[in-house]
Amino acid sequence: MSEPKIVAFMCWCSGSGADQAGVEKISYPTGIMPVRIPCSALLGPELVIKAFERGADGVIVSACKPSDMRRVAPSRLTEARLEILRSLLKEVGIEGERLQMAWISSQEGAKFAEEVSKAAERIASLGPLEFRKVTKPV
Amino acid sequence: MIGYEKGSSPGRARPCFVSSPQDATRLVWNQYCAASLPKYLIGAKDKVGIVAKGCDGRAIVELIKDKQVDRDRIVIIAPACLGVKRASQTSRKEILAGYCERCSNRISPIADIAILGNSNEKDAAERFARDVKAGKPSKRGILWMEEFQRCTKCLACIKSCPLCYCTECELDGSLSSLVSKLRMPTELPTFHLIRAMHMAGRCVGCGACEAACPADIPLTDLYSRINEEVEKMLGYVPGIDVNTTPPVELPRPKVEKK
Repeated sequence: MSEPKIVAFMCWCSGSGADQAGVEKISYPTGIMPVRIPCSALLGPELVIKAFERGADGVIVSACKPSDMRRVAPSRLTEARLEILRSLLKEVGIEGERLQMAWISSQEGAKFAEEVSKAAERIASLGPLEFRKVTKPV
Repeated sequence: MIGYEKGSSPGRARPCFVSSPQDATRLVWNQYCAASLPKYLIGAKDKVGIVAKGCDGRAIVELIKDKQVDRDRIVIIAPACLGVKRASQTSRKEILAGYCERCSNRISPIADIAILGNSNEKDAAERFARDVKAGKPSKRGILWMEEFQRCTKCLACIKSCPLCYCTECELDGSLSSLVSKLRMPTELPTFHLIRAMHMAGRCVGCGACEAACPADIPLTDLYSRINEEVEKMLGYVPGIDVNTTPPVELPRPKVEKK
């Protein structure tokens, strides 16, 4: 199978992390399309579902670690929401592993590359996603 | 006062709005009172009374939480509910609706006037107790992608849902975008996945969407499955307590260190 198409939604901080990976000249899979959003908590589940609809094989959401945040931890909410979304995907017959979450802060270029390649490997092992195919609950 | 009156054909009841004591004789209460009434409370200016089944009561709790309804302005009359009947697809008989079989609490969690025990049926109380105990789990293994293909995107599920009160909806194409486009509902099956996500941790299982659906998609089965997951994960059940905050809606003040 060719490289899986993966949409990576990243919050501003972990977006800087991805930049850092570029600065440090660390390579990561080419099928990844980064989308930078102001905060991971602003990522509505509808965007993730639409990414699957438009042909993504997998989605990675990278967010700040809750311990890096000052008072409230919005990425905790993101985590909870994605967990719910994952159970929904499983219910309709899409593997929950196609939706991955990574905790990356702004300086972790190497960690970004590592996490993303790991996630890409897992998604590649599942094969391409046929979104409208009728499948049994996973 | 919002309640039910006799519908246009036997075996049906429709919502009814009563504003004077004389008109109150129009009100009825039976097992055909399926429509979800709390939706009419949204935006009500005056003091309103409402007849609420268990699920309607839960919907009202959620609406109060979401600050759509003012508790001080409503009077809730809660009769004991035996579950609503609907025509069976396979036989001519009327059966208890699936979502009512699954219902675990048929008495409204909040009420100003509670009417317990329905005298119309002899074994009502006994059956009621048994039903409440049962609360059947939702069906597993439905091929959802197949079910979704039947959808005609009529938006009846959204219009009938007591908790879908957004003026700009993600799904019906009314959301403003930078480039004007055709106002079309979202694609299938994305439509249903997004709606299920929006109902996660909010659906009270009143079955209004399922009753309204012309394609008979068992929507409440999906929503209750997701709610089970939410309960397992976050320990949150919608529509029980006015004072709890929804788990995925508001940032909680405490920081948990990871």
